[in-house]
Amino acid sequence: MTRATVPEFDEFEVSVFGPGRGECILVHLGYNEWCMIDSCVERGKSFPAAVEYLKELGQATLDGVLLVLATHWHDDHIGGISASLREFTNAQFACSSALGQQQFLTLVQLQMKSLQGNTGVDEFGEILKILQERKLRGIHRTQVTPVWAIQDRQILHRNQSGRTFQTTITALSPSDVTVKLALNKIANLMPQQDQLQRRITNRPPNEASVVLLIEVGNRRALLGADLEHSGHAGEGWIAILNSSQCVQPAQIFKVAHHGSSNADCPDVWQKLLDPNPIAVLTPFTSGKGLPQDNDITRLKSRTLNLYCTAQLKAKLPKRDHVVEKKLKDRKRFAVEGKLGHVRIRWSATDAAAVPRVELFNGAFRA
Amino acid sequence: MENALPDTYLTGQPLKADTFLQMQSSVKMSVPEANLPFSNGINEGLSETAADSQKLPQKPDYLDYLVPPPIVKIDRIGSVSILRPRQQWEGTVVECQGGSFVARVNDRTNPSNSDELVTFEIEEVSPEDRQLVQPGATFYWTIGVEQSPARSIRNVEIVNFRRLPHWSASSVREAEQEARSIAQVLFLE
Repeated sequence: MTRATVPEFDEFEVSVFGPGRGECILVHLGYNEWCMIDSCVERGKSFPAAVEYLKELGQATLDGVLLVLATHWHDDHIGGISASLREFTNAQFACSSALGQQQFLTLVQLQMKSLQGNTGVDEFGEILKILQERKLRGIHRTQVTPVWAIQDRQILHRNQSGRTFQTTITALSPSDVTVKLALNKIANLMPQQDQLQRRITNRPPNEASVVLLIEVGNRRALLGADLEHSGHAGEGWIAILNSSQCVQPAQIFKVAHHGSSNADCPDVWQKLLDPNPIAVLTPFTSGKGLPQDNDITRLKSRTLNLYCTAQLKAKLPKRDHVVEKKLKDRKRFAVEGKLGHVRIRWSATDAAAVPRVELFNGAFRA
Repeated sequence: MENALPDTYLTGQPLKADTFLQMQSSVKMSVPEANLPFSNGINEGLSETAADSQKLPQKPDYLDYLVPPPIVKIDRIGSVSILRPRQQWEGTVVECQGGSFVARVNDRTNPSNSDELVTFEIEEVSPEDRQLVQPGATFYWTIGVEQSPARSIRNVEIVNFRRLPHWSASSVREAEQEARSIAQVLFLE
């Protein structure tokens, strides 16, 4: 089975990449038009996962990327996103409207003056540099000014003459309430005068994640980002369920927040998804990690079609015997493993067509 | 702990040329400074090449960065200790848990290795550095072989915290101004 085959012009493709910590979703919208949601890089590779894959498919596909969207700025979702945007010269950049606020931009500028690496904030700083460069080169402002995602905003719509089906990308989150909450948390991350310089390692706020509904012809994918289920009105999945945008249920689901129980909302499966949707999850390696065994059991009770990009536990690297001896009693986990790839392809025009799910590089059916 | 070292190894102070000298080595450090182990502070004031050729294995040029230079410590009475690093990481504290902390470490010796989450005991950090152990703080973690002034050899492990400057009012103001100007230019405000 080879990866290097270009989808048909009317084929909806959702490719989910995940190395164990990090995720990237690449979607073929038809007619060689693509969008990339979040980004990750496989250790030792020259380019981010989506760029590597599209280079395999051919240069023309890189030119077809219309949108790069960061669901939020955590390092496991944004690794290599600036390098991707550099490669995708025709792409607009989109992100949560919470990130366009003065507070976050100040945080980014401060971090760019200090320690960089593994924070997500510095990737965002690089994005701002790319957009400034585009402005200086006189590139049209649609590719300079970010698209700010907020609940119920249409991010992209393709319906040119000659197309036999429509494509629409709609943001289902963040809600106004969650943007406000996210800004409060961002304010808490702001360094204070006389505070020692440090990397930003705090992980809030997931509530400002951008959940997307992508519709290509009759096919629909719900991409859950890291949105959690607080149970409070106006926040998280409750805010989406109360919105009117999801008229038709989706057949494909990128499971929210690595399958964690605090992102699981039964009504999402009942109201926003078809029965037994194709569900893909990306693991998150940490001390305990996500998903746990009970998360897998719960998700398997929701769908018969659950796929995972990588194993939760990655192998630790081998080092020379003196070093290994020193390390043998130490508690440690490898953060990244092999970059698995789940690819779903499905004709957007043939109503009788069935989806084709392909698994590459260690991805598996749970 | 087994890794007890002379205090100067453990203070976390920037290493000065008059305290630590890079040994002469046949291995050319031909990669950019950013790729060198001990860059970002630990190499401060140290020369990049030298010649202790008999003791280090020959390696092809492309592997140069895998061989960190030995570090020499000369104490006040002129005794010489040599630390030969075998493995180095840069770490960032992600979580403090009472007497221990968890850090994400990045392999500086072999950058193709995955980052790891590693638990350290607070006792592994010198008393002077313990106040620095907070989420976001960065450090270097070295495993190596130390030769004492008496020429005895032992395997050692060093956790050396970086002391970064404080945020000043002017840097915060400057960042606020830059953020405003970016917003005006990019976001059409």
